[in-house]
Amino acid sequence: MRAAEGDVTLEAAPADAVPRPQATAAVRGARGAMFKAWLPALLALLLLDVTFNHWFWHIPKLTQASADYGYQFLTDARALSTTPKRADTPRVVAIGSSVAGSFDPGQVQGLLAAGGSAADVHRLLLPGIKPSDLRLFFDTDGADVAPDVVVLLLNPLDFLNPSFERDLKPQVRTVLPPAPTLRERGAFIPTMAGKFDLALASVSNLYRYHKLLRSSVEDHLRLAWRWLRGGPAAQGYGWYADGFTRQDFGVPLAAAGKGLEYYIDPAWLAQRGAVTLTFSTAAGLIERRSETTPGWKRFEVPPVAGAGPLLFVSADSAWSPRAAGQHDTRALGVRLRDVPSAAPGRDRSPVRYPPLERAHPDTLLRMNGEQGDAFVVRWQTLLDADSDFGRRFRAYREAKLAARNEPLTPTGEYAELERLVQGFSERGASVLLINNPESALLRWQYAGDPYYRSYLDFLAGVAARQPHTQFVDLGGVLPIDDFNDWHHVTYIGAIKLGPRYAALLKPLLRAAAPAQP
Amino acid sequence: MLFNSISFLIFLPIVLLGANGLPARWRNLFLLAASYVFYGVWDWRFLLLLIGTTGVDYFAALQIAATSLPQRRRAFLLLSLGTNLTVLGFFKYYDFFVQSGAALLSAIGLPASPWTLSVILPVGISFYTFQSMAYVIDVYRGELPAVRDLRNYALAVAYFPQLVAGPISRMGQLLPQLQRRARPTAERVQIGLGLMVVGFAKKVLIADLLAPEVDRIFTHPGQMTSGLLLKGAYCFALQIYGDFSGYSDIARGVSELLGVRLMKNFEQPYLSQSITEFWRRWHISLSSWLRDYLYIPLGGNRYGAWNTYRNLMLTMLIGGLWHGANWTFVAWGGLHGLYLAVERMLGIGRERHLGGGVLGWASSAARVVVTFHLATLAWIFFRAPSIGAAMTYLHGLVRFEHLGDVGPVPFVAGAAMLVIDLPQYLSGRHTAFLRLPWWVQSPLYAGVCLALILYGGSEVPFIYFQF
Repeated sequence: MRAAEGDVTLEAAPADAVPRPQATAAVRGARGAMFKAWLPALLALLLLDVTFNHWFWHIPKLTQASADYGYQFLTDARALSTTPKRADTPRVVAIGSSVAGSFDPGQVQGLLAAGGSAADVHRLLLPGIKPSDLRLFFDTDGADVAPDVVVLLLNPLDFLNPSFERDLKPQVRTVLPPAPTLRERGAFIPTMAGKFDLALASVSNLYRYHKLLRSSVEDHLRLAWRWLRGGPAAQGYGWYADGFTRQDFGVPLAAAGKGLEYYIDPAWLAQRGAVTLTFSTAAGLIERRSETTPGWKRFEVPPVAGAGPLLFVSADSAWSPRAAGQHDTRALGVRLRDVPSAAPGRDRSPVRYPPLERAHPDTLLRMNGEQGDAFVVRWQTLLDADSDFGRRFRAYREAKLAARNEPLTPTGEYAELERLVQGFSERGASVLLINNPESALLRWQYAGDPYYRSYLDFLAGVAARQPHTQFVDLGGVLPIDDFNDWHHVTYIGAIKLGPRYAALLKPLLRAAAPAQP
Repeated sequence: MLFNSISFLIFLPIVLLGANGLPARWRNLFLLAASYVFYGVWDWRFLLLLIGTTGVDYFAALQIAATSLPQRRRAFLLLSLGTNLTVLGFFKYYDFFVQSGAALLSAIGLPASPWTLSVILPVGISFYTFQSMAYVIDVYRGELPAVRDLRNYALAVAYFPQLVAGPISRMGQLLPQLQRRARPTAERVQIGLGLMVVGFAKKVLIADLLAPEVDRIFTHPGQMTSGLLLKGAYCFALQIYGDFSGYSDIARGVSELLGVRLMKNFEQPYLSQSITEFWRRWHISLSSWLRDYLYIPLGGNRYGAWNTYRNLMLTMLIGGLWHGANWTFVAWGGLHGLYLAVERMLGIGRERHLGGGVLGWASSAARVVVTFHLATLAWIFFRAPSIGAAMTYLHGLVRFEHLGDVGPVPFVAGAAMLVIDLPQYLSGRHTAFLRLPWWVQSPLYAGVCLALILYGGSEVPFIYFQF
């Protein structure tokens, strides 16, 4: 053990000593070295910061929404704000918290188109976002989204928060504009650090969007790692032994050389309206096909130089046999006439940029596709477990049950919802308020109680008070086994809801004139 | 207040402006007030404890210096030591000793109901009491004059860059600098900024990124494969080094911006070729404190081999206990005491640089690897919540199954740490980066600053704050 020592001799001069000429030169040298090292670094950071909005949003987001909801929300909102609206096509935007996962914009758009109502349908979803947050967003950064029709997907939990101004969740803070948030909620932010955080975010894009940039960097690094580890794709992927495929699959060109025969199931078209298939090889896109009639189809593979070993096929959607009344929870694409003999072991497509990363929704069924009593038993086991999930959903239940005999006071989030709807109405948009489905396992415990009735009455009242606004209660339209929990539907439940949403939107679209941004 | 917090981002520029910009006679008073604010933000009530300790030691040192009567000098020394050790013992060890005593009585069949108080541990108490005690002992030994300037003495005890997690500065080194404190030169500003960048990189980009995986593995060691347990041990070894040496670098960097040089606390400890060398490079301010105020007074190596082994063991056991009131820290210290005694017995521990030639290099590299693994083995006790959990961890580790589960993470993190450490090791300077041409330094600073912006929002506390 020995005494430590510094690298540079200590300053010997007293505080106010006059520097000697040699010392002044040395000081100048040191100062110059410091500026040389730090000034370019600071300028580079400043440049990145001020030009952030000119480069960041051009970088493809590589992962699906659930990998980073805030990033997805801002990416979608920015695309809507910067893309001009088509003059003859109304823009529909469904917004809400995690319950808005029940609204598949592609499905609703396809069903509307199949019914003769062209619409440009989008969804802005962020778990935990409340009416007050949405109102702030659409009053500021989101003003240019300019929807013609707004679908607000609601759940009573969105309103059970008496101190909403103080409850600025991290993922919500990421998407809200910092300066207006600070102005509006500064008084409710308990710490100086919290206020300073928003102040800093309002002057620095790098700081404001650091989580998005971090996600993007990490996603690109992961993809690069996959690319480095993976060799050229030779095996096919993405089909089942019975010939059905996933939404995306690749078959060996040697097998498809004479032409690929595939079947479009009528249930698929019934669920989606139309299906678009994209055929490509390593050399690039061959053809994009829109299928509007069911039955067997054939795709002739043209000879292409540099095509590689696989023919890649991607559908714009998947369909659910279970939603069509069959006992099959898979999410499927086409059915192949000649099932390739190679083992379909690989589920992931080869590395491409940007990658086609889709979650296989049938793997996300928390209840494992159970139905009836088996579903109830599995749900109860999950709910009673000493896990984060169990604790969270027990807390949701307690919150709803605790309020069921309380009088409803239309303040807080209720008042914010009315302001939000009023804002849309004043900008000429039609608004569809939807009380989204909830599991009957919980709903029966409070559906007849005063608070819940007042909640529905309030939403109906908003619809009556605000022009171009409707309210629909879909609270009880799905069976329990279409839920992953109390209020989040499975992908099968979402597919079942699509036609209902489309039917509700159809009359609104006829009345909607595209609003001016 | 954490260095990696938004609050500190507000605090630091204000302090730099005031402490360097005010008229000379106000600067240190301002710095003292700022240091109290820095500490009081955590819990203002414990400021009274800090101020009380400062007052007692200041008074005791003056009284010791004022008299040549041995009994009177010893009385005031005991007053200081007694006050410091009582405060430390009560806040840090009361519950531990009461519970351990009760457990011991129960083990021999005597009924015991422990009367614990759930005492809150004031942040940094171990650091500032050790610093303050060392000052009084130095005055008693006649190695330091007693300080009459209360303002600067209080500032030296409360000096915020080192207050909560060290380095445990010696008054003889710190006080003169504070008394003559000048505005920092451009060179010192550059050193300070560079040290802060390196420190934040170690903390935010290495330690904090490893933390979740370490927590996951150490929380359920019984459910992990040997490969994952190995990964957890490697990752914790790197995490605690990144966390603590990162803190020390930031502290030194901030202090440079205030015109004060703090002692080095780490010198690439994982490149040591023996545990003896490891302790010359790890937490230098504590190891040198233990040497000067415990090991040498116990007799050091002056009374034969067995007494030396005993002194080493006692010093390391107390060093372990200094970290916290838990038998895991005692076991960690005991293991290191054992390592040191065995090395002394075998005559290991004199080497410093990697040897020449291929054989010499390979032999040195092998020693570095062995030393790292010995230190890592001891870290398992340090990190585990109990001795039982540590034993479960070790039991799982020695099954040697699924070793491939260790994965690339610890090796990537280790390589990143080596990129920082190796130039320092080879040059013998913490500021080796300043020798790089500006066109290398500049993109490095920009890259690290950008990475810190991306990853810096989580405000994960420093591990050593709990000590």
